[in-house]
Amino acid sequence: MLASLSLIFLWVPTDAVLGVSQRIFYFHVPLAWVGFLAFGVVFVASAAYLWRGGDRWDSLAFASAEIGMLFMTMLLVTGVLWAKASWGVWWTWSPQLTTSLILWLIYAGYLMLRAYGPVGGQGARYAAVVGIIGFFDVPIVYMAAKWWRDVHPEAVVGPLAEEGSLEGSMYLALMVSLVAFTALFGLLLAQRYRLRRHEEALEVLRQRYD
Amino acid sequence: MTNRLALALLALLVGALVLGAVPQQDSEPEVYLPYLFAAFALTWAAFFAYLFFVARKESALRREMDALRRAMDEREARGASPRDE
Repeated sequence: MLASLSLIFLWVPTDAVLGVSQRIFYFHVPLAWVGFLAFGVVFVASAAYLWRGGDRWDSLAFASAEIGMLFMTMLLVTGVLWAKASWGVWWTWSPQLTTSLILWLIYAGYLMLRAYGPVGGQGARYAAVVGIIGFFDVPIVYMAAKWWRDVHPEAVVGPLAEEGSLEGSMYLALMVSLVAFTALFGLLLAQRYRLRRHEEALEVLRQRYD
Repeated sequence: MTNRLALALLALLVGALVLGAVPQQDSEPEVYLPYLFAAFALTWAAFFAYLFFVARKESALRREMDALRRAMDEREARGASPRDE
């Protein structure tokens, strides 16, 4: 992460058009990537839970959804700030922004269902269904700028990225940032998963005690 | 705690959306330095807040688990030898 910050602030050149605000990009894109990755984990873990059962899958899905929401929230916050700097408005209802907000709302609903919905296996099954269906918005968010061309730039990484869409040093800084954020996600997920397992163990102890 | 964090971030987002009703455009790109600072600072603050929340919750859970285990052990001991009560 330190290497990534050094590259972002000390090494990459300042964008000629957007100026210093373009450096938000090196946080904004990795936040999106990790958000999508987290919801991908929710999708896989939820499907595994419905197929094979087992609390471990459910715990993994919950932990990943919570961290995915953290990253998606920061994606929207950094996006709002960058939009103000580069487009002059805080928000515009462009397809990519709108679908990102919908994704955020879907997983906010997922977490609300976990917090206030049915407890036990029934709640976990409902949440798994939401976790699976919600993931279908991820490819829509990614493809949005391609399908409905608007002010939001097209993808610079992944299968839709055009060759040479980023200058060499910018590409390297972005890649280092992507790796650093992915590692951070792994760390947070492991921590939150362990905490979730402790919560469940405590619940079992409470039931035995009552 | 998770709910409070989510609410705080939501409030921030909604506030930014409301403020954005009036479009503005400045000519000097460097005037956008505060936006860069805000983006990085808020991102890191959110990560640290989340880590703090997880760490605090974990230690509280451990304490509660230990207390519950002790209470269960005491109850079992009393059940095994009722004359001790």
